[in-house]
Amino acid sequence: MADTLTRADVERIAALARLELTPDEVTLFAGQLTAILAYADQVQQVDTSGIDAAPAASALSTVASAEVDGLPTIALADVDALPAVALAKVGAARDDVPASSLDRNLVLSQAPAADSRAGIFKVPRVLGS
Amino acid sequence: MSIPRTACDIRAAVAAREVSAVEVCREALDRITRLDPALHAFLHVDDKGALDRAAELDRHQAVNARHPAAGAPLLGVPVALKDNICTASMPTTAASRLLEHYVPPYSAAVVERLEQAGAVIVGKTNCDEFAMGSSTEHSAFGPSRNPWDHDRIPGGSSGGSAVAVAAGMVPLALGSETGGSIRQPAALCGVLGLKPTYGRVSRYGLIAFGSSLDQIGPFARSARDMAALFGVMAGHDSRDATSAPGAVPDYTAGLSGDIGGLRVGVPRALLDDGVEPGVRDAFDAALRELAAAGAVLTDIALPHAPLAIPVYYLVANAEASSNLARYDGVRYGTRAEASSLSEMYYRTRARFGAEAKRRIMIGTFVLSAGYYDAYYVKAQKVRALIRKDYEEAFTHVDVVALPTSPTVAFRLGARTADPIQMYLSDVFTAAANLAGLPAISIPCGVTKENLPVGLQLTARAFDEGTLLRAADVMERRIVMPRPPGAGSL
Repeated sequence: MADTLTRADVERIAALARLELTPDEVTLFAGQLTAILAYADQVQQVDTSGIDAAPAASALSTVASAEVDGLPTIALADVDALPAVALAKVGAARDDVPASSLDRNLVLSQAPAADSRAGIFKVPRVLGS
Repeated sequence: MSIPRTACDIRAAVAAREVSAVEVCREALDRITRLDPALHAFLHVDDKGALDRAAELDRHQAVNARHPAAGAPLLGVPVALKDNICTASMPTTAASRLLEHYVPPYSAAVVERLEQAGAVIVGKTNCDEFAMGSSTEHSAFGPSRNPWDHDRIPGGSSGGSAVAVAAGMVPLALGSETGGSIRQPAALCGVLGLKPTYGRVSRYGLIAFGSSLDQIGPFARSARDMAALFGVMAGHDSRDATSAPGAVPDYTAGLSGDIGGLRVGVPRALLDDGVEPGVRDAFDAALRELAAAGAVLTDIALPHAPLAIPVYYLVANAEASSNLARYDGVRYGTRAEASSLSEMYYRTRARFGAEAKRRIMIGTFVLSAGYYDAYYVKAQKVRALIRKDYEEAFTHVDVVALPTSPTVAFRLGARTADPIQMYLSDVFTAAANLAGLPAISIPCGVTKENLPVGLQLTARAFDEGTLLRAADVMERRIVMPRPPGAGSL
């Protein structure tokens, strides 16, 4: 099912990712992305019937295989096709304990535009023009 | 007394007050000043911060002379950090225009651990932008050079860290891996590089790329130095939800010099395609050394391993497109001026380099409506099969041996026009990331053109100790030359 990506496809994907591409980049990526997806198409040939999507290289599964104490065992079948990160968090939920967070002014000092007195990040106009 | 070259000797000499931490630090900074203009291993060198820190350690030593260096296994040891590891006192750019002047409000967990262990952080090393690449040629600030041949790439993405250690600027450095970004440059620069088990080292403060794959790991010139560093880095951290609990062994004590009976699996079918003859010769010689040291070689099969690269580029890029969504010019990093918020997003994100854009595009596509099951879920299922191959292999072997890279260091520019050729640099390394397993690259000789080759060993989850023990044994058996111009190390 290798897809051939057109310039219009590339522009649609770039818009989803809020990426500004030059006309040259659109042309380049149409060819390169088509080639990369054709290469990745090998995975389609593999028989994966009965296989649950990997819960990724999560701490959960690697810890379980090393028989380290302290983590709950979760049936992997229950979580098939969950994104990797979500599953990893299932494996290592910590207690919800209040703790200090980063200093607000320190964080705001790294922003391209902020008002530390108001405690806000500033962005260009969202509505109207 | 001359300045010792290894981390363990530096630590002993500083603890015994035979040399000062300041003298050690000056030596490292002098070497960086002398060698880095040609090699470009560093993006930032913190001369003043490092010397101040070393002086503070010396003062502390003078006051606490009766308890020398207790709990400071890296006392006075200069260490370099890949520039995607956050440091509150230094810029952290991930080699990207988007983070060009960024100074994080906090330091990574590994940085805290290094400092508690008495290390002196001298600077931040070059890498491919957001750790995406195999050569450092995707750094927004220009490539690093291989100390063995300045016309060749050092490997990547953690190329600067590999160069800094190989050229003797520092005895130790940290890198990060998503698909081979520590092991491949370690192999191409002739040093040790370790990708730990997923969860073994906290990623708190590591700039995220592929969150189900990323790990921070060490570079060193000797297994003993690496064991000392890795013992400091490893361990649970509640600030990383994927961090694994469990005790951290004494890796140094585990360097017994004995690998008698170690069962080494060799997936020979993987060696038939694309391995350069010089790499194959060095790899075969390394297998003979393992056998001579008492290891037992067995042929094994990893039938799904050839799919590691396509699976990796679907999974890693999907995660990358999500992780890089945060670079929008609002909270940190650089911003392109624009009259509306939407235009600001587009114009700011236009500052990503070509490779980061390519990966964001692939990842966005494979996660988009109508393609998610066909690409992302399918790749995760094949990933499960890759992992099962290793589980099966580890029922009858202890480690799996392969060359780290199918080729020696290639020339600058040789692969930049062909992304798939660049991706194939990781053909033997990506599987360990997909399976979450620890793997090490051990220097195992040089080719006729005097370029280093790495032996890769992969072990069961949390069995880094076996990898370090094997590395120590190989180091005693294989005499590696040093890169030209690096002098005695």
